[in-house]
Amino acid sequence: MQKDYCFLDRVRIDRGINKCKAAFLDVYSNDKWKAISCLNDSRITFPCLYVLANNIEVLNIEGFLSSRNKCALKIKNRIQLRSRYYYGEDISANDKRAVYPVYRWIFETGHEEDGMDDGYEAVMDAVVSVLVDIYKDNSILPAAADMIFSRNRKGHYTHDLLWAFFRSSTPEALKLIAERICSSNQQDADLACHLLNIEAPNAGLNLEDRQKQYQDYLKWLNENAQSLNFTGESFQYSSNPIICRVKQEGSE
Amino acid sequence: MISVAGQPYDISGIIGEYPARSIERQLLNTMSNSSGTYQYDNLDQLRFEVRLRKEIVNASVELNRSYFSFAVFRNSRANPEYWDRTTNGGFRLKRGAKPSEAIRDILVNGAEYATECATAMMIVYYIALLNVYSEDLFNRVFPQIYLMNWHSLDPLLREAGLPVEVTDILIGDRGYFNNPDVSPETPELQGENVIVLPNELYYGHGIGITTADAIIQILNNNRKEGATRSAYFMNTAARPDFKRLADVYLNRTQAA
Repeated sequence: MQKDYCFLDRVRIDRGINKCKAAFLDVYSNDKWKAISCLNDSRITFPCLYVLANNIEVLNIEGFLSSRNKCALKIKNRIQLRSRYYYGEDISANDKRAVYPVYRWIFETGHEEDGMDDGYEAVMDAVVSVLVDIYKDNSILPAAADMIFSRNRKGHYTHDLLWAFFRSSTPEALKLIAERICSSNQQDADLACHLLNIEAPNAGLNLEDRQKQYQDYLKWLNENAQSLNFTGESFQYSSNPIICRVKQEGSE
Repeated sequence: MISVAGQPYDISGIIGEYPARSIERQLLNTMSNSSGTYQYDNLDQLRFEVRLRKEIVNASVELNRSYFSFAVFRNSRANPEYWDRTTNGGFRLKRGAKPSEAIRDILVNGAEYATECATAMMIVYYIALLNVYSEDLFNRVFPQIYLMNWHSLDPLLREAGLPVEVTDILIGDRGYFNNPDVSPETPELQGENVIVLPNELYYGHGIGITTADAIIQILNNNRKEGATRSAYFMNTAARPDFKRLADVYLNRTQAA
């Protein structure tokens, strides 16, 4: 079933970002309130708000946006403008219950368009990180795994997203990665094996052998799921981070 | 202790080659008094390691003095005359560019460069090696350079990306301050890669040369609300394979 997009999203998806911006400015030049109403359409997606963010700022109309849109732009700006020593307000801590749906909305309407540009990916990295780490929302992990492998295929930056993904510290995250061992795409299989610290399948390996490797890993995971210790290691620390270890009997 | 050619080695045989209070002497004393064993095939490998460690310290100081700045990968930048910036924020040596000139350019035109702490560690290693190897040898050994934290390391420097538990943290080691409760929106502050310097100081790119307490305080100031765990220095170190680097140096130098 076709999604029910708002006017601005429809233009963006069918005709591109520049036409979307032009359409918005065209409506605005004729009727400011109609343009604001388009932005506040409940069906608008985060990618659409993202591409219009500069126009919204230049026209100085943030104050007329819905509270969700205002909050989403605030999150976006804070993430993109952060400096090395950022001590800014922590939206996620200010009012967790009120802000959570905004993070969810950004992710739900935005994850499929990950890769739009570097700034957009940075926002998605942080949104995944906050949802997983602050809100313990692991329901986003399957879509986040898709983002990881999609970026990897394109040679985009993945390290922050991987770090956020594994902060879930759940065997479910490992399962989602392990599924890619069977991928027909060698880059997927190589990354999956690297992350799971298992030998990468030979490029010539047939699907049956890959599936056996996957099944072997799942068997290991099921046997050890209760005694895994997630280390927090990342690609900032090591070229070969050990995501988890099996706790030894008697150890913490 | 230090073992050379399978036999315990008394450092009195070479310690006189180095000035009092020098980095080399400090290293030799620490290694000699260690409960662990530092093994070498020959004395030249040991001399090479202490020399390269000293140059790692010097390179850290030089890089810290330059205008080379901090940026997350998405905002990284490099002098396009020598480097191609890759889509993931790394720097690849430009085709036709001389490796030695490209590495030196980071010190000379530091303001044109910005990246995060792990990549800075790799830059330190390359500067140090350039100061030890001849320019000609450096260019032959590292014809292609890719700078992007510990990703796709040159085989000769692979171990620099693999921290392991060690008996001693030595001057010139790459250490790591971990920040387990970091704010989820600042992944760059999940930890700090550092080079261990003399006098209990550390070089961390973006932080500068300072004490462990100061680094821990900076990391702790970037934790999530309700954080209970302090940042801390991990008892691990990553060390390039000094013996292999020494063999490259000794064999090529002797063959020349």
